[in-house]
Amino acid sequence: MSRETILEVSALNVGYGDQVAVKDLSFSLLRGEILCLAGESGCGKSTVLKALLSLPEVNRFSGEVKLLGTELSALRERERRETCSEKMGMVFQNPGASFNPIRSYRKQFVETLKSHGKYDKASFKSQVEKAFEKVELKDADRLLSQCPYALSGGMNQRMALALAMLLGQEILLCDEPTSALDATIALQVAQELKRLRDVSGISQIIVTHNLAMAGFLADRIGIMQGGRLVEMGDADQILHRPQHPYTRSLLAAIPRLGEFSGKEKEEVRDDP
Amino acid sequence: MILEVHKLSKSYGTKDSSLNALKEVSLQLKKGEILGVVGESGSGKTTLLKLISGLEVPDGGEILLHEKPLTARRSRGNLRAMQMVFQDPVASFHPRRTIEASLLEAIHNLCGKETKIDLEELSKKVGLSPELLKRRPAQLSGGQCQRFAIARAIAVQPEILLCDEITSALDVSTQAQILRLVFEIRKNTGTSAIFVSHDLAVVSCLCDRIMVMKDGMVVEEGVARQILEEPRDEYTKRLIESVMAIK
Amino acid sequence: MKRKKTPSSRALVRLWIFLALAGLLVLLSLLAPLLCPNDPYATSSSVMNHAPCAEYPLGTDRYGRCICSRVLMGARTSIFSATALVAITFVVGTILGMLAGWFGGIVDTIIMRIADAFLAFPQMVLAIAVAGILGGGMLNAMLALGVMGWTIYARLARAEVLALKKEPYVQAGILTGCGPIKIMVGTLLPNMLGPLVVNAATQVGVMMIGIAGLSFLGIGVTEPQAEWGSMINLSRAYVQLAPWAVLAPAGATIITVMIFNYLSDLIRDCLDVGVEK
Repeated sequence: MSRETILEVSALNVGYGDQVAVKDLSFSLLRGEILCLAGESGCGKSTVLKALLSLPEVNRFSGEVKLLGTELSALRERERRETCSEKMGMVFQNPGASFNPIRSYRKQFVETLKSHGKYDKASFKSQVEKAFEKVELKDADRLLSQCPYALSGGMNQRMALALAMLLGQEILLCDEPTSALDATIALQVAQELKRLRDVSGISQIIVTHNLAMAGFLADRIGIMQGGRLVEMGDADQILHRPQHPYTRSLLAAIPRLGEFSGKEKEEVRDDP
Repeated sequence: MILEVHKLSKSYGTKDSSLNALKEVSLQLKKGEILGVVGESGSGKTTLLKLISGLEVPDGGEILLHEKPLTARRSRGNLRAMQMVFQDPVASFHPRRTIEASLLEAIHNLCGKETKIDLEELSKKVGLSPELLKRRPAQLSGGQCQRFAIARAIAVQPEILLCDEITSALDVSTQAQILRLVFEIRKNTGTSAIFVSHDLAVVSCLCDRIMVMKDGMVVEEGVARQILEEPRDEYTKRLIESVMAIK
Repeated sequence: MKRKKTPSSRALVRLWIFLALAGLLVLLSLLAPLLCPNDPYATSSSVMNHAPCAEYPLGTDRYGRCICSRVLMGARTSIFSATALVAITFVVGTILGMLAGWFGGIVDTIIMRIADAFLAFPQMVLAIAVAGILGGGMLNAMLALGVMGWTIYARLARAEVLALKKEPYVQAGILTGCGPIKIMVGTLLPNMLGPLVVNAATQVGVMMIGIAGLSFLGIGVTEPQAEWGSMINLSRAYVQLAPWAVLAPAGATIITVMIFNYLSDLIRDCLDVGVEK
């Protein structure tokens, strides 16, 4: 089955100020695919997302980013911003980060929809209910009247996903979406993300340091180290038949449920 | 049995709105044993450590060290017997002092001013080069600071190590190193540990026994293998299921 | 983790300039007796309300006393007493605040309720009442202002201690056997000084105006001692005849207070982007 390539990144070099944070990155995202970029802190994975959204704090030194065939840097700034925000949505690690904590969700949803030109008063309620259903949220009216500070991290994260659905964005960029959540809630959010793809066909690039979650969610996994993509492949292959030594050492370091004390682990050297 | 905790309770807040952080929690710790305490946010696991270490005073219950009850004011001997390692490695050292100064202060306070201690030897024990001792916490990585924090804790030769999410702020590979370090310390010196974490996988690979907490109460407790292979409580089962393990 | 930046070199340069200015003011007040062109207390019926001239650089007041000399001697009174007052209230307030924050419980309650009692009164009203009861004089004026001046530092110190108490390195200090005094002095105090010092610098100006105000009302420094507030009061009635007699001490007050206020801003700026590498 051949799927459409919706995002194509070629030889991307981006960074902050003069410092290059991501070196020579190339990968593509197919429609309906979940791609995980995994790595430890400082490897540049969050920078990749910021670069894809063309956020101003990130400088592109060289390389291409083609969204649905259109080279983003070729567009004028305003067009680029509009295209990015229309096609790509972002979910942050801190569930409340993208919302004003003391403003009701209803107001924020309406405002965001309006700014994307997608607000229709008549159908708002039914659209919201449909979106909520997809992320297993009930009682739309009550939730909409709540403010982010009053809801838990898991709920806020699901509201963020619901909004992404309402905006009809084709690609969801998630920066450590479950790292700040408890294990049970994290699993729920991960399941939502999977369902979003299964039911609505939303493609996703998920950045995480949690390889186990990557294994749960992703079709393909890319391992990053020091700004470079050291290995990329099918989730199954990366997790069970890793080629690159860094991938191997990363996998070896993951604590396995049920591997009891007494089992000697591979010596992992400390890098100063 | 070196530590016994009977029906420890603690609540925060005012008369109108109180938060029961801990409700009659009991536990026992044998010499040389590593007890894992697993729970999600709000389970009370951090409060439990704060009460055991003496940082906070319980509302009810008692703590027995070698069968002697511990009071709010801890003696030097008591403090020396139980040392704590914190979640934020860099913040657990005085920001303006060198690591060396912090280590020496701890040793002089608890072991006497005349105590001679080989800091180089201590650094090597935790796998770090002695020249890092001269640095300030902000100049070290999280993993390095945590190793020094463990060094500070074991320098006074405690009987129990209290570990409060000591790997939660660290990368996966650094986490593995720290876990291995704690394991080796137990193997070499027989130091017991209470290891608190929200991560069941981490706890399962280090601990002899596991205690599962939820909403301030102990939900299930037992030998690690049994808890993981034959969990009895529904919550424990959910917790195990939600660990996204690599299959 | 928050990384602190170093203060910009421009901010540092400004800080040093104003520290130098403030130092100069203190020096001037110290050397006042040597710098006075005339005897500040010598009256002269022939040169009453005289305009500024060569012999009297800032003119004379209605008793014929040299204003320039009196302003210089007044500097000694105003700046010194204000600084001394701030120093005392700073120390007392900080200690009480730290004790309240650290020990909590009954200690906290007692100290804070006393502070609340004093804060219930408007500062100048309380000062006037106390100074009035005790009688005039510099010492009583200082006491009147100091009786409430300590509360600012106490509240600030208490808040800082409450926040710092939760820091892991403070908890680690407790668990590794550091006694409360050692922790308060060695660990908490250095990390708290910033906001406290900024407040203290601002308070110098406030105290100065407070003393001047009390003297202006006649219950602070009394004649013939030179003090800017009382000088303004004295020459108030003659402001149309001899405006310099009012403008000189008023101007001196304004300039001094402004220098100290700006100094406190600069200290705050430099500490906000504090350096520790």
